[in-house]
Amino acid sequence: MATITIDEQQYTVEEGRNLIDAAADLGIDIPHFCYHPGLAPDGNCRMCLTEMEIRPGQFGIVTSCTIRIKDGMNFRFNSPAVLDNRKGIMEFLLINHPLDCPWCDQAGECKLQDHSFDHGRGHSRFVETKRVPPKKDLGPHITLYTTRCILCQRCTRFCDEITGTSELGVVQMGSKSEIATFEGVPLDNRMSANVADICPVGALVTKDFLYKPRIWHYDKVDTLCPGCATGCNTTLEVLHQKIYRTKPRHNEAVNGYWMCDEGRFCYHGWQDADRLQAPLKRVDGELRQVTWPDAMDAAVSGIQAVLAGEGDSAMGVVGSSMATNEENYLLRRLGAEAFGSPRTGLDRKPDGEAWTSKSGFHIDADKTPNTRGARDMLGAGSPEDILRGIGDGTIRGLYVLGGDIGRTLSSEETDAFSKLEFLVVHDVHRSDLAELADVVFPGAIPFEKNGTMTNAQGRVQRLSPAFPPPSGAREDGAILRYVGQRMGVDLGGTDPAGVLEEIAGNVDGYAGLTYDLIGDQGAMTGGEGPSEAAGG
Amino acid sequence: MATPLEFTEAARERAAKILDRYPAEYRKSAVVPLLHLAQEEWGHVSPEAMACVARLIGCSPVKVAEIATFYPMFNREPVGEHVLAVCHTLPCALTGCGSVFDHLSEKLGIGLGETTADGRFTLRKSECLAACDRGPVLLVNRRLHTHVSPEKVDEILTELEKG
Ligand code: SF4
Ligand code: SF4
Ligand code: FES
Ligand code: FES
Repeated sequence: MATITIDEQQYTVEEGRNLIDAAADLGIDIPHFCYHPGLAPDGNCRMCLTEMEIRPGQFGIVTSCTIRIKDGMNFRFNSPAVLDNRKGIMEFLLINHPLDCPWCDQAGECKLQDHSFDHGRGHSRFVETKRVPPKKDLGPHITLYTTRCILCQRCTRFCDEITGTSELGVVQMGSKSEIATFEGVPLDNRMSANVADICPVGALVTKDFLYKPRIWHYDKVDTLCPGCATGCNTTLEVLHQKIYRTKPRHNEAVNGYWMCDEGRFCYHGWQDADRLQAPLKRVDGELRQVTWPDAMDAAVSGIQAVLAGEGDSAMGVVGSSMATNEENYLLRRLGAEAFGSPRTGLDRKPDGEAWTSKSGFHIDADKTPNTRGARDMLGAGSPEDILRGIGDGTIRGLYVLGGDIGRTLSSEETDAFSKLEFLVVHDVHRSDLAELADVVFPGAIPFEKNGTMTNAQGRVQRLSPAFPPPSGAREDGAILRYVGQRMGVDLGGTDPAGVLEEIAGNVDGYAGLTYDLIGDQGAMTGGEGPSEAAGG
Repeated sequence: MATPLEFTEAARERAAKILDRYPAEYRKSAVVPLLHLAQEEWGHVSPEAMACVARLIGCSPVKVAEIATFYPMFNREPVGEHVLAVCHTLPCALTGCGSVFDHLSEKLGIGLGETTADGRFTLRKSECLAACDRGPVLLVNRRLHTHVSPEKVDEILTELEKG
């Protein structure tokens, strides 16, 4: 720790910390543009200038972003020289700026707007003609409103330091300088859209969020990306039960300040899916929409018929790596308590491609968010084991938590599932799997779920719903409870925090975990790998 | 991406010598001398030439474009055999660079940034050429002429026509 002085007041801060961050820890905002905590300091915008005592009694102007705290440092944040400088920098930055805030997508979350208001002079002395360079299409996701750019180079540094792909540069000189790509080399790396988040002004915008409702109308929901086993922390911006934007939420232990493009835009696929609006039941070989009680009757009598047949445990249950820990845990309990210790499996689509950026940001090959958690909860056997069981007739009925819109069945799986006497499926649309089922319960997509998931590292993190499931669908936990009830098994209350408490008591590695402890940054599981206690 | 041009054998040897001047981890520092070489080779620095330099120093082509577009002495478009640049910064303006430029423009029959039809001359303006005490200043290719007057322009042009 170090003791420093700011405007004649003493503070204790972390030694070696960047002055902007150290001041922020103290609740003091040093205005800045080019500095971003996820990137190396660059000192180019000059907005962060403050005064520092460089010789006893003598102060000099320094860039706060490049100062590392040492004991005894003495600063002036509000001296006339500092305030004057800010005013001057703001005036420079606005010389060619179009001031088109009324239709700029950044309005409301724009540093230029905020700093202008706080530190600008309120009127312009610039009477010359402004430069009006045209906007540019930089890549599949990003457009540059060239006029709005203040050349802070966060975007170029992101592509140099984080992705290592270096598609962006500053071309030309002086007032003609602008951000550019090289012809034929677009900004198309796997994390490209982060540049729109870190651009402090409205210069870089995602095509996805262009001309959408103004940013202050949204409800913000902190949750997780369902795109892969990395489990990036996100904030959704939601209006009228619709997601308009996903932004990465800072978590140093998981995703830093970033997320990948695929994850960022995956909400479209989920949100636009043709959702099941009511349960389905097979009648005369065809799936028909039925009421919930009707579907329940069918499911329960079907399961009971399988259980009444030969064999010890003729039912199998298959959890889902798209479902929360709590849902998988409830499924395991339902199986153990109502289906007589069934064989257990985990449904997961085949792996995709893994990728690691220059800075170490990792996109997992497992394109589902909760394989690790689901395994921990279920102690699941391999999917092959389930198929084998169906093949040799030891599994004649199956209860499957589906719910992955990206999941399609292989012909092997289709053949196996077709052989079942009875198949109950939770799903969100008419998937391959649902088409084979005898009863389909319409469940929730990850953006409607409340609970926890465990990422590939073993970090348990919280998922919060952006909106409820469609009126005909239900949360999967509630469906499981309903089935349990009909079969004489009480699976407990509906609160996921309560289920987690139960998990903490029963699943190895999860001891001591609570919603509070997990908080908004997650908490590590204690043990490594799937637990022994889980599974039937 | 623009297909990188290939240096001739002789230029390749010179490029290797240039690169030798820098430690391996600072190869990128060779960007300016290599761009000069490219300009000598092809007369101007096209995107294809930038891509060639980028490949030699092992960086993204936009990083070469940053440098090539920053310095006005790298020609981005084809130019005439001789490039004439009249300094038009204040000290030269005060000593009469305007009449030097007008004279050149009239004699060559071309305006600012243009090249004569026979491809011999390109006319430009330049910022301060660091000889302000000897204005007006005219840069002819890589040679600086000071105290230039319309008469001296005629001499210079005759000299160039001969050569
Ligand atoms: S586009 Fe945005 S991030 Fe990039 S230099 Fe301009 S203002 Fe900075
Ligand atoms: S890396 Fe994975 S979790 Fe992170 S944003 Fe991409 S898909 Fe989502
Ligand atoms: S934030 Fe320090 S110079 Fe830009
Ligand atoms: S102003 Fe012309 S050389 Fe300096």
